[in-house]
Amino acid sequence: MRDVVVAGIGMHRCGKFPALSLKDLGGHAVWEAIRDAGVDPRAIECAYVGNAAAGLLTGQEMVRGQVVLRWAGLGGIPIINVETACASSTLALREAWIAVGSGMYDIALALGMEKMFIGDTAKSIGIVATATDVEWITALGFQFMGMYAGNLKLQMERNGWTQELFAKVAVKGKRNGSLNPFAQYQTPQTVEEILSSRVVAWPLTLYMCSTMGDGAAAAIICSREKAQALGIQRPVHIRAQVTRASGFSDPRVHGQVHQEEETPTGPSGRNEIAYEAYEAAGIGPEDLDLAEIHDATAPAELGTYSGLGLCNPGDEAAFFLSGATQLEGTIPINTSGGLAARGHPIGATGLYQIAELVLQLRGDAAKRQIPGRRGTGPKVALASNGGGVVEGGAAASCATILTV
Amino acid sequence: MEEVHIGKYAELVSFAVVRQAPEGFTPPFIQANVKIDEGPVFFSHIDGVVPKEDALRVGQRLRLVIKTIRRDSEDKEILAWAYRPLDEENN
Repeated sequence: MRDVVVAGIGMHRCGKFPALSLKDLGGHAVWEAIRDAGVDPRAIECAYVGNAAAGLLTGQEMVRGQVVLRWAGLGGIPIINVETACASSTLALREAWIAVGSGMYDIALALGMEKMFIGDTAKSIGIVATATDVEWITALGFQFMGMYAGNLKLQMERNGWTQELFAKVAVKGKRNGSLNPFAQYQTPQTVEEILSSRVVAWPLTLYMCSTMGDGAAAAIICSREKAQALGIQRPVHIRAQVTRASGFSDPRVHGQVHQEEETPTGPSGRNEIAYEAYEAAGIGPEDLDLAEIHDATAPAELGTYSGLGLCNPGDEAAFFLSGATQLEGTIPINTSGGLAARGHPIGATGLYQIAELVLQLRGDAAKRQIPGRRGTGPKVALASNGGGVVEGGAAASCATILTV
Repeated sequence: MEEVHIGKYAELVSFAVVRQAPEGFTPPFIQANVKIDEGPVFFSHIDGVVPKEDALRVGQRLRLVIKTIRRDSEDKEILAWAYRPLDEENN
């Protein structure tokens, strides 16, 4: 594999946009990315388009990427559609990275897009539950928030975590979101507001949960040589990308939804996918300046702290309360606001994470810009994204490391 | 090859009282992960208890039941597995 960089990123704001279609959302993100990279759109040689649910939500079951990119004015290149639930667009990025890294192409586009507000919320919620085995699980009324709530209760018992602590984590996300012009929710919230919102599945209240959202995010990927030739000023290196589906008793794969591993913190032990990425990148958790993590519920973030090696198992609450993961801390987590504030248009989430990290690494994150561990700007960032559930774990556990 | 029956007894791994139900289900109900004695962890409804936070405890012993968990749009019964606390039956 040769060195591959992100040359530019583009986003549409996350939110509820009844008047906008997938074409509007996706096309906007693509053109923003083209402008940001400053590349000639005719130089893009292939495209990978991540989307999870357009087939069920909008009826566009087939050729989603081709339809959206044709509308955006791109065609005549291979366009490959990628679906892996909430990890769809991380997988789109991964495929673009492989395509360029292999030497097959010099410039590729990765796009993630989702249109979740279709005027029928119950239908949208039901469709999210198809991110698992529909014969086994969906038909039985499985709800993701119920699974997360069950996990959290175990951790409350073992670690003394409280619902108020969870609300404080949500407050952090909402504060970061309030500084992010691409976030769905841009209003800070208090602990009281979060605790008094409606109970979804105790201890989770509505404002702790990831949103439904419309949105799209895109990245232009190219080889390091091509970036130099094109005069790309601030390329961001994709140092590692690791993705695995959960296996049968495979200790490497458990993601945040794994239920079986007994560890001091309960069910979500070490994130082996992230450790594999650290190894591939030749870094350790102590080198990270920031991370975007898949907080389908805000409190799920706590368990990932030790999973990623940022603190010891059992110390997550103290680590959070020390302020380490706030914007001003040593390792800010989810500077974008995360899934509950930035928003969670499922098939676009992976590339929203990447776009946020690219902005931070380039020093372009404006009001939420972090200084990095040494005060000279962040250098190393991790994105942790998960998609779907199959028996025993995540359908896709992903870790991506970006550096400048 | 030998046919093996599994899943008659299990232990409660985690549970939640779900208050936001998908189509066809009436909240609240209890969604759980149960670990059957043979090892694997399954998603299951919990039967035979009032859906409240204090209705169950993690580690509790469970027994398999087959029940109607919902009716489809043509009012046909949809059967599925569920687990019921063993000690409920002893009371």
